[in-house]
Amino acid sequence: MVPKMHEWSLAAGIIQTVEDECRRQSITRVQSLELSVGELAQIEVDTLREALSHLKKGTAMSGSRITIRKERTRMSCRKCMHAWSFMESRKQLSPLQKGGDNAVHYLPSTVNAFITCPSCGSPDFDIVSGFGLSIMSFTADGRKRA
Amino acid sequence: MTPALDLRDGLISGRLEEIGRVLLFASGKGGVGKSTLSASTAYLLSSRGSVGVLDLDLHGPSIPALFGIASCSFRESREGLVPAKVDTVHVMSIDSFVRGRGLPARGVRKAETMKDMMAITNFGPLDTLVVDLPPGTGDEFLTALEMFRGREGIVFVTQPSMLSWNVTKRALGIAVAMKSGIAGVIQNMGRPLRQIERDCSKMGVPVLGSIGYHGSISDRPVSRLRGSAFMRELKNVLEAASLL
Repeated sequence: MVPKMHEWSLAAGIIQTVEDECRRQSITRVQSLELSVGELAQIEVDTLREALSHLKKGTAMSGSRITIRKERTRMSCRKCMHAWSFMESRKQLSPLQKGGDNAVHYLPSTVNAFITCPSCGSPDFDIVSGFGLSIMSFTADGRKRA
Repeated sequence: MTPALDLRDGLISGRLEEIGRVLLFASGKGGVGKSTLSASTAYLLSSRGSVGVLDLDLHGPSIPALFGIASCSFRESREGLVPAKVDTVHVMSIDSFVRGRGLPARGVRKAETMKDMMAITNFGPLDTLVVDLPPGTGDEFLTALEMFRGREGIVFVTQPSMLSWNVTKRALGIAVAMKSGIAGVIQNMGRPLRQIERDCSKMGVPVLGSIGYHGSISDRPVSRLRGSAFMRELKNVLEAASLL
């Protein structure tokens, strides 16, 4: 099994960003954190959870409850306006290039280099939803901060 | 729903804390030798310290070719993607991901890609990070000014022609207005133009020097330019500007 180390790096980014925000707002304790994981980034949620659980020790987030919501990725073609899901296109990734999946995993915005609109074949499409990993909100010292 | 916090901010600030300085190579026009100068500068600097190159020319990456490789590689670690060392320089390029494909990217997606690249790349401790920017004053230029604020020294590259300078001057004007750190202007591929020196003087921006036209360096990787007249001239310019 390929180790999923990218998730650890992203988890470190979450902890660092929240810690920085806590310092800015003089927050001592984070109660909850809500994350959104876009399907496009192909993040392994269990690994992300494990990494967060390990890395939050000794930080303002140490006792926090972390909710991770998965979001389906939808695309919309700028040329023919066709709308479709990433799952429909994912099969395009593998035959194109060895490691193609990985490129989109690391840099979701490179997806336009690897897949095309299933209706007209254009690579000029928008990601409407489910882009990457985002910190949606957090609650600290008894109130919602963002 | 808009995200509350951008997790890349924490990663990027952590990465930049390990980097002594960031030299951004920018220009108004394409084809002025900006990538060649940034790759060569990185190569020269690497004999005196640890250096990384970040190729953010999303639509026209040429850093891998300038280091004589088809495409750069990286390895995954828990601290981020570790770029391969090519010769003596750690090289990360958008081409490490798209591998020869064009990247159709608009507006905000370009800024996303640049921030993602800086956030996920673990250069480790560096004396200097050299960043190769695309020409122009659009998303990439503005995102770079914002992302590296406080660490940056921008080297503007122009050809010694009014056609090239009149465009580069616009980018320079934006950087001045945004109070960015400007290292100065290099006139590349010809004899220096007095008008450029006069304009820079008015703007309070140093002219770092000029480099002549060296047609023979075309398509040669930087490692094979060692000892060439081009490298000697560049070295003189960088030393005189205390950048080397």
